[in-house]
Order: sequence, then structure tokens, then C-alpha cells
Amino acid sequence: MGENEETMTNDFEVRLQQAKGAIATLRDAIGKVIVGQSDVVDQVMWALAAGGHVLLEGAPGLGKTLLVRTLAQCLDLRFSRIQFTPDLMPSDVVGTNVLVMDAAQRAAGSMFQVQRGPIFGQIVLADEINRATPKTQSALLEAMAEHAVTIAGQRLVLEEPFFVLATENPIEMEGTYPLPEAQLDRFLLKVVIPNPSEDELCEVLVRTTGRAPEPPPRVIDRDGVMTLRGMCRDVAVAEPVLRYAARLVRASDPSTGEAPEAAKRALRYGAGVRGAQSLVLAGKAVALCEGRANVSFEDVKRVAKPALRHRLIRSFEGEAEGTTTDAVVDALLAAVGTRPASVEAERPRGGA
Amino acid sequence: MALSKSLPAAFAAAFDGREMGPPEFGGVTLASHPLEPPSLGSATGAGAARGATRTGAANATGAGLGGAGRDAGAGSAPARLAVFTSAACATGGALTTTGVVTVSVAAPGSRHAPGAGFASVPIGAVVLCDVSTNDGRTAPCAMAPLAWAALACVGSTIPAVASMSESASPRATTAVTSPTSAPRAMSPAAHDMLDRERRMRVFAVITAEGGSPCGSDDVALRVSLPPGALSATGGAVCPAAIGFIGMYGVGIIAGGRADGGRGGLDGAAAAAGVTTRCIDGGSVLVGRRMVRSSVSMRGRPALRRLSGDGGRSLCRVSPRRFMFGVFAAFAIGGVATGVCGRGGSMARIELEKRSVLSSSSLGRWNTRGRSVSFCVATRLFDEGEPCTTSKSPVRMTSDGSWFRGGRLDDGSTASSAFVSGMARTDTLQEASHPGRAALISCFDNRIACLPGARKLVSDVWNSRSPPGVLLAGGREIHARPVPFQQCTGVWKTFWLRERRMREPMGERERFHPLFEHWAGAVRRRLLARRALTGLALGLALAVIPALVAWKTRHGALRPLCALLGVAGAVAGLVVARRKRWSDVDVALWLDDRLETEEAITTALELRNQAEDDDEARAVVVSTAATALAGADEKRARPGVLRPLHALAPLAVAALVFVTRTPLPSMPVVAKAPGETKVQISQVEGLKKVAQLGEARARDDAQKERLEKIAKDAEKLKIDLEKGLEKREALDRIAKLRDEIAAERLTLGEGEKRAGLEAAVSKLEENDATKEAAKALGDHDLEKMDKEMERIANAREKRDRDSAKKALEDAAAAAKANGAPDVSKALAEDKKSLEEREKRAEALRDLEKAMEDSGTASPEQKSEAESLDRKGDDATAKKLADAMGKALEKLTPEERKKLAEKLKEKASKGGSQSDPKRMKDLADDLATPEGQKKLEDELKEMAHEDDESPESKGQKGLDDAEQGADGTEGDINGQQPGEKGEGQGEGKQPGEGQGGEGPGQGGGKMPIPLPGQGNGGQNSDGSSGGGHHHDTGTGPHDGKTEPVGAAGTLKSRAHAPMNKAPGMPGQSTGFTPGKTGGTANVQGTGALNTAGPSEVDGVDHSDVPEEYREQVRQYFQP
Repeated sequence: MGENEETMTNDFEVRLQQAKGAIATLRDAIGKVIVGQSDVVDQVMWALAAGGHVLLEGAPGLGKTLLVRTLAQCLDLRFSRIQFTPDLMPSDVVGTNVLVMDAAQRAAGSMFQVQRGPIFGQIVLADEINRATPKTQSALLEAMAEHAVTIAGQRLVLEEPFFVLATENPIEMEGTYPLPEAQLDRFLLKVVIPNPSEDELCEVLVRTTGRAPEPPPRVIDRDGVMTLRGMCRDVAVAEPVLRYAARLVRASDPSTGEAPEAAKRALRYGAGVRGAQSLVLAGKAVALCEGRANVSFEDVKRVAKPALRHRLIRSFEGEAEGTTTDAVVDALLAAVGTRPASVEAERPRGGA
Repeated sequence: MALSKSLPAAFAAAFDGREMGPPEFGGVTLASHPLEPPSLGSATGAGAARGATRTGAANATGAGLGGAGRDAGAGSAPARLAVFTSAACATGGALTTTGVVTVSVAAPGSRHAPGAGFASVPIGAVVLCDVSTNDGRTAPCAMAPLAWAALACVGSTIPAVASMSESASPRATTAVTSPTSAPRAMSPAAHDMLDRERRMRVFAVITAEGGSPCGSDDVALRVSLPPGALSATGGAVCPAAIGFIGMYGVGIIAGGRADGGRGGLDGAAAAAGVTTRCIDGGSVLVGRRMVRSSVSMRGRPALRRLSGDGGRSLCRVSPRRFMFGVFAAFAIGGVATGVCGRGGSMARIELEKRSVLSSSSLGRWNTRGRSVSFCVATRLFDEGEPCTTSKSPVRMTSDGSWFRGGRLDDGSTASSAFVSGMARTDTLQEASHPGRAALISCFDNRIACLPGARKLVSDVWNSRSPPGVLLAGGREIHARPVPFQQCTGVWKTFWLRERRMREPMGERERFHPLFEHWAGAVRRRLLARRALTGLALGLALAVIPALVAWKTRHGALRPLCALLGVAGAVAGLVVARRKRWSDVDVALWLDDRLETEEAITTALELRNQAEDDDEARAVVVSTAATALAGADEKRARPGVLRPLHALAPLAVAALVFVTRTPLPSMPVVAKAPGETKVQISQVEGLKKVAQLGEARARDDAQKERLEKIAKDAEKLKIDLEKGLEKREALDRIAKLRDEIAAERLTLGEGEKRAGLEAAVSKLEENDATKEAAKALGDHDLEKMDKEMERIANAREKRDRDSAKKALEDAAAAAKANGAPDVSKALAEDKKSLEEREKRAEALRDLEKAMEDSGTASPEQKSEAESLDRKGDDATAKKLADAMGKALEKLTPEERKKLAEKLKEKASKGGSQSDPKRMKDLADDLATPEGQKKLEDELKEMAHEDDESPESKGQKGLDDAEQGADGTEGDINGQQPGEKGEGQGEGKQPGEGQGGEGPGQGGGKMPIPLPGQGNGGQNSDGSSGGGHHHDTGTGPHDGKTEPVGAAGTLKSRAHAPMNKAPGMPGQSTGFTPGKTGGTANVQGTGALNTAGPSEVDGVDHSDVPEEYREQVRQYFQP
């Protein structure tokens, strides 16, 4: 290996460590505002690094909006929030053409002017996305997939990084429009926000009933985020890891023989190609966040639930029995082995 | 000789001539060229290089070599050798010849072979020589150390020598010794193990001539062996060659040809007074095999050419590797001369029908300006260092440290070679870039180098390295130096060690060998485990057949069962081979065990597919390499032993136990009765049976039957002489006996039985013939004859007449009732009676006359009385005999007196005898002749046979039956005992009873048969005690099967049988019938009239009462 290669190695290794440090700093900064929810924060970090969008699901008051707002503050990115309501129209999201009132502009031949909607932010919080009509939802989801919007026939590219965090409330389902599966599939991760523990709740009480905390510092700028995303794509994945991700996704399809019994009973449809992509991409993000240049089996396992839980469609039996998709993912992880059987057989029992 | 004079100007100009001088240790200088041998010799010590000359082809080409060394003349192990190679430099055209390096020293008194000229060559010596190119120009060529120097090692049995020379010979190739004995270079020793540098089995290099130690007899060669010359695995021998081979899969180690250096060699040999032999030819190691391994002794050229063998071998080498290897090999020099000199020896090497190498290809290589760099590790040995191969201070490694890209001080980059040389005084060499052969030569304390190499050397030398440490090839070689000043003229003793430098090699290069190392370790352990598993299972299974072999008493097979263990191990190896882990599997395993988060797997995945600018790849590879380098072996390697393997020692113990356990005893197998063969050479009994054929027969039918019996007996006799199954023999004997018994009963049987019965009735009517009647009824004609005898000898004439009358009546009755044979027999009996009667009367009259005349002897009187009492023929004959003897003793007066007495009796007529016969007797006695006649008559009478014909026939049958009995006894190993006389002893007065005494048999194994005995008489007259009670404990169960077998009246008794061999004489089959015994043939006709004695005969028989019913049923018609 020549000098150049050594240099490259050194550069990348340094950048890896820098990335790892930056993410850790970001996590700490968020942690100063958000009490607990470390897993949630981690998963948001993964999605940020991977360039995907996040669907946050949790009961009201668990800090979903606060998390996103804090993240936006730390990233020094343009933040916009869309409160989804049943009467929200797509143009309220993406924007619309408005008649130009300025005479000078009109004299210049421009009768209309694009009024950009909140989607043109870099970190977009789609709050309670399931309260808007499907038409409005689809406007957002199209933008999420295309990173561009079309207003009156004019295609406008959204500025990168474009990071959408949508929230939904699972308990107030009346008057809501649940996201269709095809649109759920566009979220890289679905993060479930758990209820805080007693200690965490106490800490929340302390922080929210006292003086307002200082705003979090800006940790990573736009370039930093783009670098992170670039490095994430460079993380290497070995074929066995890829195959493991593929086997997981295949096993979630109840129509295949590879599916475990739990999946066959509880699922109607399994994850698709996007699910496998999410597994690998999120796995890369995990590796990057930990300063590694390769994806491990454990990385895939860690992202399995957030990456697959919203892609699995339960069957009638599954719903009737109350089987959650997380439980199905657990079953998948238990059923699908990481290494070849011959290698697994050599592992000491109970050993690592 | 001034070497520099022969160098081209351009090359000579490369030397700056500056004396570098010894920087620290002193005594080290940099010289612009090697010193001449004489000066070296004088400079380095007495006698060391005194004999160093350039010889052979070296002279011819003008190449020179300086030798330096320590004292080689002391007769002890001297010197160190250098092996040379050449860095062939291209000058724009194909090489036509290279210079020749020959070094030869034959120091006076040296124990070295003349050819061991290298003994005087210092390690690291580099020879510069001219190279003639095909365009007529010459170019400098550097000959650098190639192989290990051969340090003299007296007594070493390690057959190796390394040296090199070359000549302009197409056969200038390499000879490699066999690892077993020197100097056999016939078999390729350097083979296999491509890509496994440490295992390259290059043991030694033998060159042919010119400077090589071609004193090729064993002793000479051994003398010149370096201690480290032989190493089983990547040893110190020829590290450069190993390096080459390891790196490129191709190695060419020296070369030589007999004629190239004969001159010098012979000269050296002559100087030493030793006859030398040369090894010619050699082999080119290309790929994994020797292309050529032709070496001949005694200068005989080996004309084996580079053959397809090499071509096939080459197939195993990747083209890239092959090219590199060949090129490297050519650059070394040996083959280059061969190829270029004759224009294409190597062209014969074919790679899959393609010529991959030829002179032109070589030219291309050369014209491309590519030159190879190579490195040489040199080593010094202590004088006192034991000649073992276990110490290999310098080891070549596969990590590429030998070849690295380097920058010369002029800014150009070349694949330079680093030399892991000795501290300070060793050779360093850096290869050249095109057109400039860079070399460093160290002669004693001088180093010659070219500008291209100087910087490197100076950097090293002036060092940033601590004293005694030389950076070479990315390694740190530690030296344990002896102050150089103290070693003037003597090469220092070094003990080199190596360790990895902190600055590692490129991660990419480092990962692969590390992974290969670990993969090999993992796979080996899996292989070992599966082999052990197979062994354990095989041994465990082997216990089963071993037990079976033990049980079945096949003792010799028991140890062989252990072979199943071997088979199991082989099967385990096969299974392991089939289930061999792939690289990915190994990587996954290592990742798991080393907790490297699949870094190793990823690195492995990326090694062949990643682009150079893949930044992440480098990091992954680096991470993986670091993890592998610092891996804990215990943790990373799979375990070999498993609980199942405990079966192996247990099974071995079981096998040993089973093998050592004595075999079980032979099982007792009861043979079928009568299965044994009997063979009797002398069967006297059957002879008697065979005589029946000559016996008198009653009629023709009987004659025919008797002859048949005799014939069967004769045949049986022959068969018994040949050998016959006992049961068959007994069966045939029984058949004979049955036939004989049946023959005895033929008189008056069947339709004639009424006649017989009528005759018996008639005889019974007369009191005198009652006994005769009974005898006739029993068909006992002998007894009947005895009875007739008694009647005939009776004194009362009335009785005789009555008997005769009864006989006449009986004969008539028999005839009348249809039994003519009985009638005839009775008539003959009557006739016999009459003749006996006459004889008895005559004897009595004569005896009376003699008694009356007083001439009777006492014996005569006694016999006469006996005759009256017994009335048998025997007594009558005795009387006749006694009277005959008495007549002989008569005097004439007595005779006269007797005659008168007879006349008187005749005249009185009171005698029962005929008066005329009495008168005749008296007349006879009157003369001596008459007396003589009378004596003869009496003697004749004494021997006269008056027996009836029927009685004679009966007697013959009896004899035959006895003979058959005797034969049966012989077959059974015994003869039936005759009834003996028992003699019991009364134990308690008055309580004993007559016992059965032991019988006395005359057979071979006499078994007493019970006989009737008389109870012993005790003192009080009571009977003695009988036989002892049977105290046997054997089973007495059993039953007799009902008679029902078709065609036989026999029934078989079923009883528990002892498995032990039967007693002699035991019969477990059908017992042959005997006369008077139970019938064994079912009759087919009605009995008709039963004999009077046969009616309810069972009730009157001796059959015990409890069996009578059964016997009655048995005989039920």
C-alpha cells in the first residue's frame, strides 16, 4: 500500500472519528433539553446520518415536537413546522402561486409569484401528520421522496439536507387519516417514543417548571450533515451482512417458507425492498455513529425494529391477538441466524 | 587483478571511490570496488584468502571476486561463504552472456574441498562482472549474494551447500539438493508450497562448477555446508531464493555448468591434491516444481532438457506471478545466461501450449528497462555455534519486506530491495533502476556501493538506528555484535533477532497474510478436530468387531480392529475437507470471536473489489489487520477437543483389554453319533462271516444267501480297512447279523413250520427225545445234535432204540406236514445216532474186554466211567484215545489174553455189540498187524466227526454271528464282554445277595458286561453284598416315543443327553438286533399257527412284568 493509500486511510479514519465525536456532541446537546429517550435520540441520529425521514409515534406530551425543535436548533438548519389538521390543504404545505400585487413586478411580466410553503425548510416537523387528509399527506410524502415539489407546474428542488420528522398520536384516532402503507414505507425509521420512567419524569418536571433552559448550542452545520451523509454511504457492508438483512426481510413475508410461524400468523404483508434498504442504510448510519467503517450484524439488529415496524402489515389474526409488529420483528430476529450454521455450531454455548 | 579495469567506464564511474570508513566500530569502509583476493587475503588474516583465486569462467570473462575471510587453513571450520547472484542489468538488448563468478579457494592445509572456494568469500561479497550483450557491447553486471553462504561445518550431516556460479551455458541452471543426502541434486527439493514462503523447501543449492563447492563427494560437500544451510521450513538456506520463490512463485538458485569452471576447479583441486567431481546441470525452479532436475556427477552432462514438466508446473502459477518470477530469476543471472546464451532453452517451457518465455521475451523484458531488485540476507555464524538447523536467526518473511517501493536519492522510484544485512559489516544492497546496477559489497570492512544505494546505506549507517541495529526491509534486526576491533580478520559473531517494527507495513499487505495465517490455523484445528472425532468414533466402533473376534475366537483379528480408528480418522479428514470453511466462514468466525464487528469479513470482502480510492476500505482493512495482529490465539481458534473425543482413549483401553484378554475356551459341540470314522485293518470277525460262503448249505437257495452274506462281509471288511463312518459300519454289521440270524431260523419256517411243529410233537412224545424236541423247536440244532450224541452214547439200548423210533416218526411227520428239510435233518440225525451208537458199543465192548483181561489202564477206566455218566462224543473220543494208547502198551501175552477174552465174549453173546465184530476184534489182536490196525481204528474213532450236517451249518452260522459281534466290538472300540464270574463280598452277614460280577471282554477297550455271578459266601454261609448302588447324579428323565415309524418297529428313546463325548461303545442310534432279541423288522405275513412255546410266551418270559404289556403290543401281529 502506497503513501496515498495510507493518507487516505488516515483521512477517513480521522473523519470517522470526527463524525463520531460530532454525533456524540449532538446527542449530548439534545440530551440537555430532552430528558432520557436516549434510544429515540439515537434513532433520530441514525436517520439524520442516513438521509432518511423519521416517523415519530408517541402519546401527547412525550416531547416529540420538542425533540425535533431541539434537533433543528443544534443543527443550524432551517426549521419549519407544519401542524397537520383536517382542513390543511396541500398548498399549505408546499406553497402556491399568489398574485403579484407589486406593480413593478407585474410590469416585468410576472403576474404570479411562488409562495413557498413550510416544506421548504431543512428540518420539517410534520406534527400529527395523521390528522390531515390523505391528499395533504401525499403532498408531504411526495416531497419527502422526491426532495422536490411542483407548484403550478414549476418544479422546485428542496434544499439539502431535507429532513422530515413526522409525528403521530396513536391514541386519538378519531377524525384522523392513518397513513397508507405505501406512504409509511417512505419513512426510513419509525421511532416509538416510550413513556418516561419515574426518574425521567421527575427530571422533566424539574426542567419544565423552573426557569427556561438555555437554548442548545449549534453543533453541526449543513456541511457537516452532508459530510455525515456522504460518509454513511461509504461505510462498507460485507456480503454476509447484506444477506442477513435480506433474509430478515424475506422472512417477514408470510407467503414465503422462510417466514417463522409468528410472522405467518401475525402478518399479512411483510417488508419490501425499501425495508431491506432501510436496514442496510440505517445499519451504515449506526456504524458511522459508532466510528466504524463497516456494518456489523449487530447494527442490522439494532435498526431492525425502527426500520421494519411500520412496514409490516398485520393480519386479522395478528390484530385480534394484539401482536405488535415489534414482537414480530423480535421473532424474525430470533429465527434468522446471522452466520452459517457450521460457524454457529462452533460457537461456544453461552459464549459471545 | 583489478576488477575495476574490466568494468565499463560507466559502471566504474558509478563508484565514487570514497572510503566511508568505519563509523563506529571501525574497520568498515566503503570501497568503490571489491578488493582483489590477494589483498583481501592479506588484509583479513592469515591464510584466509590466500588461495583465493578467480578461476574458470571468471577468468574467461574477466569477472573478479575478492575473497576475504578468516583463517581457513587451520583445519578447523573456517570461513563463511557467500553465494552470489547477479543483478543482471539490461543495456538495451538481450543478454547473451553474463559474467561468471567463480570463487575458489584451496587453502593449503584446509580441510575444505577445493571447491569450497566460497569459504574465503566474505558474506555480502558482490562481484561485478561484465555482461556481453548481443549487440557486442558489454555491460556491468552485479553479482550479489544470492544464497546463503556455506559455512564450513565439519561433521555436519546436513546435506546442503549453497553456492552459485554461472557460465555462458544454456544449462546454467540450478541444482537443488535433495533434502536427504548430499549432493544428490537429482530430485527436486524445492517444490510445492507456493505462496507459503516459510515452508518453501529449498534446502540447498548446489552449483556445478566454477567457484561452487563442486567437490561433490559427500565428504567434501558436507564439509562445506553451512550450519543453517538446511532448514526444513524456511530456514536460513538461501533466503534470497526463498524470498524470490515466495514472492513470485519462481525461484532460480544459482546455476552452473561443468565446463564453465572446470579449469579453475581442476586447478584448485590439483592444488589441494584432491580429485574433484562436478555436478552438472541443475534445475530451474519455476512455479511449484523443478523444471529441470538434471544433475550428473563426474562431469557427465545431463541432457535432460527443460521439459513439459516445467510447463505443467507453470500452469499453476498465475501469469503475473510467473512473469515476475521468471524475470526475477533471470535477473539473478543463472538462467539468464542459459536463456540468452543459447537462445532459448527456456523457450521450451510451455505454458499450456504457449511459449511463455523465449529469448525475445527476455529481450522485451530487458528492453523495457525493468530490472529486478532483490535482497539478500546474510548471516554470520559463530565459530562455536552448533551446527544445527534449529537456529535460524534470519527468517524470511512473507510480508513483503523484501520488496518495497523505494525512492532513490535521485528521485526515481524503483522496486528496490532492502537487504537485511548484518550490522555494519554486512551487505546492503539496493537494486538498481534501469541501467544502473546498484550494489553494495562489503569485503571485510569495506562496502562498495553505487550512488543509488548510498543514501540508503548512509541513512542506515549513520543511523538513525542504534548501534547494532540495522534497518532493513522494514524490520529491525538486532545484532549482538562483538566489537569489531576485536575481531580483526574475523567476522563478527552475530545473533540476529528480528521483531516487528512499530511502523507496520501497508495494512493491505498486512491483512492478507495475517488472515491467511489465521484461516490456516482455524482450518487446521477444525481438521484436527474432525479427524479426532473420526478417530474416536472409529475406535469406539472398533471395539464391537474386536469383541466379536474375541467371542468367535479370531484372536488375530482383534488388533486389526484398531484400523477402524484409522479409517475413522481418514473419514474425518475427508469430511473436514468436504466441509472446509470458506474464507468468509473463517472471517465470520474470527469476527465473532474477536468481537470485531464483522470488520474482518468486510475486509476480506473488499480485498479484491475495492477501488484504491475507497477510503472506508482502507480503514476496514486496517481495523481487521490490527484485530488479527493482536488476536488472542486461545480465543480466536476453535477448540480441537470435544467430549466425544474421550471415546478415543476409552476405546483404546477397551481394545487393549479385549486384545489381551485370553480367548474363550472352545465350545463343546456334541458330535452326531457315529459320525467318526473307523478304520480297522484286521477284521477277524468278518473273516468268519466270509467263510459262510463255503459252508454246507441245506439247499441252493440257502447256498445263495450264504454266499451273499459272505460277499457283503468281504466288502464290509474291505471298506473297514479303507475307513468307514462308524454308524454306517455298525449298520452294515447289524444287517449282516440280521441276515445271519434270519438264516438260522430258516429251518422249518414259513410254510414248513407245520412240519417242524409236527416233528417236534413227535419227539416230545418220547421221553428220550423231549430235550431234542425243545432244541428243534428253538431251532437250536447244535443242542439237538448234542442231545442225539447223548442218546447215542447212552448205555441202555432201549433208550437208543426208542430215540431212533422217535426220530423216524418225527421225520415222517415232518415230511407229511410239508417240511422235507426238517424231515431230512431228522433222518440225518437218526443216521448219525446210529453211527455213534455203533462206535459207543464197540468202545464199551473193547473196554470191557480189556478190563476183564486186566489190560485196561486207569485212565481208560476213568474215561469209561465218564462216558457212562456224560454220554457225549468228547468223552467217547477220549476213551478211544485212551484205549488206543493202552493197546500199544500190551504185551503179546496180554494181547493174546485180550483176544481170547473177546472171543469168549463173542461166543457168549452177552454183549450188546455184534458178536461177529467181537470175533473180528479178537482176530485182529491175534497178530501184531491186527493190533496195529485196531490201534489206528481207535485213533481214528477218537478224531471222528459224527456231527450232523445241520448242526455243522448251524455252527457255521454261530461262528459267523460271533464274528459279526467281534467286528462290532472292534468298531466300537471294544468287544462284548463275556459273562464273567462275579465274586461278591458280603459286608454284612446274611444280608448280601448275589451280585453281578464284572465281565471280561477281549476287545480293544474292554468294558465289562454284566455277568451272572454267584453271591459270595460269608463265613456264616450268607450271601455277600451286591454291587454298589448307582450314585450318579445325571438326569433320568426321558421317555420312549411310541412305535410308529413307518417300516420299522423301533422306537427312539428321547432323553437328555450329555454333551460330552460318549463312552466307547455307546450307541445313541438304533441298536442292531441280535439273535433272540427284539425283532426290528416288522413282519408282513400272518404268523398262522403259533408255536406252542410262543403262545403267551411273554407271560412266561423273563420280561419284567411292568414291561410285558408293551412287549405284548410290540409283538402283536
